[in-house]
Amino acid sequence: MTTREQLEVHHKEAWFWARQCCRFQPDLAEDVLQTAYLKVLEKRALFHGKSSFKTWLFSVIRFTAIDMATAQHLHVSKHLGIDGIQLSEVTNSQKEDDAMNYESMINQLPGRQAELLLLVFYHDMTVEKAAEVMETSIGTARTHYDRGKKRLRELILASQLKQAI
Amino acid sequence: MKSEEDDLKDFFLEMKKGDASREVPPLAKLLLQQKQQKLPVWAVVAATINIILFVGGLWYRSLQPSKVVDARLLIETQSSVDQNSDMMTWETPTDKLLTNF
Repeated sequence: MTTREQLEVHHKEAWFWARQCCRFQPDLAEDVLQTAYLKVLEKRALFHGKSSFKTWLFSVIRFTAIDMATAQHLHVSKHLGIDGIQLSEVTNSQKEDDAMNYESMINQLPGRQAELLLLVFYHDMTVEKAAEVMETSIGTARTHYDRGKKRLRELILASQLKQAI
Repeated sequence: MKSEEDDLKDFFLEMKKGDASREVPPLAKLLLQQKQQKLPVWAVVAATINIILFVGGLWYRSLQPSKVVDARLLIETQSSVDQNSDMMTWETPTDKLLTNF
């Protein structure tokens, strides 16, 4: 199977992962996915077969998103004069829109916790595979995973209570 | 009985259902856009500055007097200096001593 064919197989999942890495900003996600595909097709990112193609592709997308978010962060800081602004803060205004807005709730989690939960629950990966995507140790991944689950459960409960009232 | 993670599984299941109706940009469209990507702005600016400097340099050189003329003048001056030079006719004061009588 050629690289192009493999990209076609995983394209839909890759798109949603790119979107999630960009805190659900579709325009940025499109740029990230384009850049990641370019890296893959031009062999600037090489697949050595140590993990599955999907795991590797997700890792390329994640690091591309980090690079582009950093660039965007600097751009925003330059123009608005705000230091330390985070991508999550850009979308925080969405939180108030809907009490059970899944994306807003994910955005309220710290980045790594959100990524781990998405990889495990949304993309059906094991914590070990998720750790490979994030290029972190399994121990660190498990810590983020447990904290993320606890925090998200609290958010879900708070949202359910809010809806009940 | 619900397991501890069922509430989270339900949460992400609902999220997936919501995403199922979202439009996914076709792979071909993304790859086509990559091919059509323009040069970065800084590259265009750098190329423009280079062209302006090159053309400006040529124009400036055209305003300068020709160096060929300078060289000819230098040669002419040098030759006249050589002709009028006393060095050509100068003799040492003791030169006569070398003369054989």
